Amino acid sequence: MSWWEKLDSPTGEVSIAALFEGRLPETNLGAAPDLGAVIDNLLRPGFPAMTSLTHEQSADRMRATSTTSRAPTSAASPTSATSPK
Amino acid sequence: MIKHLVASLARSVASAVTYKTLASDVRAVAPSIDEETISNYVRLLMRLFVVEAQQPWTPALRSRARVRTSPKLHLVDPALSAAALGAGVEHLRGDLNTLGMLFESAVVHDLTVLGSAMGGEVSHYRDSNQKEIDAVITLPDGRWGAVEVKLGGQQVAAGAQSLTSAIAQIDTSGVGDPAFRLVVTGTGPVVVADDGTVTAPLSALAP
Repeated sequence: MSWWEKLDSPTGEVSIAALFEGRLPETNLGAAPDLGAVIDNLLRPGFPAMTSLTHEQSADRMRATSTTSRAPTSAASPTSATSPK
Repeated sequence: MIKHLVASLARSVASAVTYKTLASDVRAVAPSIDEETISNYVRLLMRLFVVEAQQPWTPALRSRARVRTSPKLHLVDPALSAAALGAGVEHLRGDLNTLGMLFESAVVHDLTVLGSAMGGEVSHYRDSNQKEIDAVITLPDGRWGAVEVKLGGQQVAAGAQSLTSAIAQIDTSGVGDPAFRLVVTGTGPVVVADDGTVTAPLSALAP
């Protein structure tokens, strides 16, 4: 589920289809969300059965089926030049 | 073992992680596991729609730079990545690197959804000159759009410059100029720059 579908009142100001057709959006300096809203949307799962749960409830359910690992200390992404086969 | 693999994938979302790295992580609980077994598990997770691969875009280049061909791997929902990492609100507020990584994965996910309405596919571009485009949306008719992801609205100028620099590497005689250049932010406004580059928060995007 995309943010456009998850948000209670999506503005839909910037259409991907319109951009491909060369139609640019209007500048809207009031459109900027705050960091709290970004985190809130990131932590809200798009799985239909979980959309109405709290962050803690949904995280508990997903951890039950994914992992028990602890929080990262940084985003150090292990990368190298070797490509997956 | 699968839990450790998912956690390792979560630590690496939006990056070109290797099976070697994943195997190294998983050996903490499965010491004898090899890269081939890891690749089989990743393919299984893809078939189960838990993992999605963002394939590389490989246009001809103007220079002698080489296009990197590693896919980026994403968990299907950034909230799943956060849960796998045990990262809640306070953790993410205090670790903007991880937040940025998860945000980029969210943007790629949403562009995939929004672009699919036009039959579009989302790939990424990276070359040996370290030029990068976080997401390239290509349509069946050949049109393409270039997207840079920046969590903070104050990073928009850097994002636009990065896009310009990467696009300059590409031989547009074959693929044409991009239909648009878009910087997707977490906390920025909607702005159209003089050169036509559009900046928009993820929350403002629509099909």
